[in-house]
Amino acid sequence: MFKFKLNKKYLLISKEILVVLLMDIFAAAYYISSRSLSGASRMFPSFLLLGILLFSILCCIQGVHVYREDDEQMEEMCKGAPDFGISRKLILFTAMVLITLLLFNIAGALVCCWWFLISAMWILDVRDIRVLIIIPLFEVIFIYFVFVVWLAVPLPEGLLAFL
Amino acid sequence: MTEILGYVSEAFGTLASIETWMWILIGTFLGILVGAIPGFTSSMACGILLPVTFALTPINALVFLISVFIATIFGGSITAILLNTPGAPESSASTFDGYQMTLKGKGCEALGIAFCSSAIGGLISYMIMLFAMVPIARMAVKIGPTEMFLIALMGVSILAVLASGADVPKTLLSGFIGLLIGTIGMTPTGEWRATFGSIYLAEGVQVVPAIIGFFALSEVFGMVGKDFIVKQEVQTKTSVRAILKGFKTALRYPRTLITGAVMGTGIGAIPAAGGTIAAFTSYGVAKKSSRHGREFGTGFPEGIVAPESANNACTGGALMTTLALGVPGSSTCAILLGALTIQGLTPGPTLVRDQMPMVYVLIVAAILSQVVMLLMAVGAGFGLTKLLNIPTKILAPCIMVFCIAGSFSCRNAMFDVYLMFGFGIIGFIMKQFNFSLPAVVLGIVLGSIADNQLIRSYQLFGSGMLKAFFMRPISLILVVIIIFSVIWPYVSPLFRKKRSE
Repeated sequence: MFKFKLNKKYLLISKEILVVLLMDIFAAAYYISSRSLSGASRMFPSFLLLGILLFSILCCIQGVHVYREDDEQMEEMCKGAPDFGISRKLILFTAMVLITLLLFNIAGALVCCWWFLISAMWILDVRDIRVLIIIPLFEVIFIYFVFVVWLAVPLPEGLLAFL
Repeated sequence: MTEILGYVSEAFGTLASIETWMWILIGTFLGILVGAIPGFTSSMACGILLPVTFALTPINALVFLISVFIATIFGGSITAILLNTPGAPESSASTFDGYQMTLKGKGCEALGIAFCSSAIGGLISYMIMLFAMVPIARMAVKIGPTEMFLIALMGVSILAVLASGADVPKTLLSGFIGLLIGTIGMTPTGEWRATFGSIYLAEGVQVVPAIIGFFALSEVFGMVGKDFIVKQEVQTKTSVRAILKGFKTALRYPRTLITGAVMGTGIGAIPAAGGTIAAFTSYGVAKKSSRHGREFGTGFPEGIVAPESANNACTGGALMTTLALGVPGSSTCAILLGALTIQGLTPGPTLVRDQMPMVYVLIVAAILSQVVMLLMAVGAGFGLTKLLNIPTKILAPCIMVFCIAGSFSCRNAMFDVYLMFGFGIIGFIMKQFNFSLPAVVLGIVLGSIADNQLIRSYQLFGSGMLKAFFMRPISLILVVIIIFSVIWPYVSPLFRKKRSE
């Protein structure tokens, strides 16, 4: 909850408003990019954009609360409010996924997957060396045989292109 | 009737060869395996395995492909229920109650319910096919863009059902955003809409990365910080008995099983509709009509029975239009159509007129493969339930790698992987604040269909489009159903209140 003091009252704004804002930014970008299209192409999206506007307003109304300073409900409201639920481990894990995706074409799919599995498991507190060696190796071999050999998916070769 | 029974007994005779049974077994095994991999749809599985059929006899080739087609949907449900990661888009609706049951330690039972419902749905669908293939197929192709738009809208109306009992504005906002994402891409008028300059978005947002992102990846992010998927105090016991108990539980809902199967067959027969719409629609109808509607989404067995019976019944419907009229009901059926042609058979009215015994061989083979699949799925489900005993610190990175490879294989493009990653992060945040992820996915699936059909209706009827919705008999019936289905969840409590007073 975001908490703002206004005179003798408190304004509480739920963090879910950020999600609504994110959706509205997407809807606005959609609207701007499709302004010049023909009427037929805008027919259904216009209806959807109107709906998004309406439900965004309703969500915002739902997410804003005003309480008096001495109101006991305010503390309960703040305690029970949902949060992003982001931990240090999650940030590191997500960063590792992003790095893997950025290196996917350069280093190659199999190398990236192998490296990701080891580093992600390490981040998530796996310290058993046997697990850190055997599982990534086994999964990469499995991915290779299922995706590359059997299903003929051209996963990026990257560093292993010379093979 | 006697003629049909004659064809059926002749078909059993033709299929009584070890070689044919071997291809049914191989097809079913490969189908379940590919279906369980996130990102691999039944059309991709059939496309990849098509070259295998070149050296086979026509019957073995088609029996093999039909087994793969049906088994991929079966396989997709296993990971949908155990890991909230639908292997195929058709299994998305099974995650609502299936995964909740898994979290309660009833993963094996949920799998049993799914297997039994799927098999019964498929069997009912093929029984309908045996007796009413030609008339249903003829009616299905009479459906025009106005009716197709309304069918898609009927799917959208499920948002109202998903919203009832949940946070209404949040669910509807999620659904509308999904619909808007679904309309991205090239329109039937040839205009590029909201592609933001990306050539990859010209074809629209692909359903597979969206499903993997919103369901699987958001779940993987949620696993970080947990010890096991299922809390240790309610740890799942892996047993065949629990799976068989699920069979019994599914049979407690005969009405839902039959409704789902009939609905799946009907929607499957309509070209371009497909199993995902059928599963969502069936779930919505079951939630609305069930006495326990409020318990749906909390791990209620009927919530698995409805989508599972419909998504597998869809295969029968899709095969009807493919065989009887030569019009593929889905992309997988287009591949089957190609396989028929490669084998020297001409799908369509001539096939039904000149090669009726062959058609019945295919239907009976599909029925047999349902039975084989049921037995194999019990084995697969038994083995895969053990995944739940693996700590999430090992499982989460392993699933992540499958998500990346599965999204990439959708179009062999990194763009889909980035899209999946973006959807995963957004999905995780949405989940924290109780926004509905099924509503977004439903919107993405239906958005493009609804929009394309609306534009086609406009091109066909011009300013008289609105009139066409009310003047065409099938359209009118659909309009009434949609209005009723949107209003009913909100009106029925008032009726109940009045009655109790």
